[in-house]
Amino acid sequence: MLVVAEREQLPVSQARAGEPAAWDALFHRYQLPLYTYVFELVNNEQTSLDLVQETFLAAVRHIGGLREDGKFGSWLFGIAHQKCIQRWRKQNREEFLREEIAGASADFDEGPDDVLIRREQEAEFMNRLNRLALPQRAVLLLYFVEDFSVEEIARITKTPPGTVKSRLYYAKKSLRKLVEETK
Amino acid sequence: MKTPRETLLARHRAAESKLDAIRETVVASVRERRVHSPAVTRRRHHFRDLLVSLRWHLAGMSAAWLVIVLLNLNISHPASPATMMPAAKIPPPQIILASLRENRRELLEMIQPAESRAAPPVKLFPRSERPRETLTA
Repeated sequence: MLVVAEREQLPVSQARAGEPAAWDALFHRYQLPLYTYVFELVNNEQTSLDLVQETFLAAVRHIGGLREDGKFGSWLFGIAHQKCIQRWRKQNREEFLREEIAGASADFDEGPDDVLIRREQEAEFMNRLNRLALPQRAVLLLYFVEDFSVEEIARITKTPPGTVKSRLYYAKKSLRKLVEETK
Repeated sequence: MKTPRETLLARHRAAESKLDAIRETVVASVRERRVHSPAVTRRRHHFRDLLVSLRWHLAGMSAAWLVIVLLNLNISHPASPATMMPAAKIPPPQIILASLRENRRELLEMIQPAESRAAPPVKLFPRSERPRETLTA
């Protein structure tokens, strides 16, 4: 069972008060998922490490802007996402701005852990993931890595929930095809 | 079999030592900020907030003090003795004029002798029109 940030007791209020130990616990909890998310978007180790550090520093500086302590995880990923966007805009504006067709209704009865990947499928899974358009990849990563809800992903990526649903639908369809093909 | 989350995280687990170093750096900066900033910065912010909240009062008080200083400068360099006289003690112009007329009248009375004042005014005639009795006497 996936343990997600919103169900955990995180020391966000202590972090607000400037407790170093609280920040340490929060960063420890999110450092690997955050790095994974950023790396899969920018595909460069050093850039990803820089972005994670920038995200952590921005979180410390702007913790006053976080309205609900329970949303710390999505707020942190939101900061990282914005930093990735700035990077994409510098590198490849066209790819970032490419939009897929919106409006398809998605079925979300299943969770992110319902897709199971065999060892021999892992490489192909990553290959497929990296071939997705950046907006689709971002949505799928947030869904897989932290099990964020559609609303949370919409908030992180600053896109309408309908668009998030559509992106998730196409991304999952593409990955499901892989699992079925390699069975 | 692995979940996508497990697959993704396992792929990047090697970077954890670098992430630990980053985390320690950022937490150290939090610690440093906590040690150096709180008391002084908070006090400075409170003082600034206080000044901002009292800005209109302070502006009014400054204007009042400016007026007081200007008035003091005027008093220390008087233009004439009249300006030194308090405004409340100067009588209205009608009273001043009346008293001046009264003074003038009294002065004239003092200069002129009493007889001339009592005798009727002498009428002067041309030689041809002088009264007769003076000629016969």
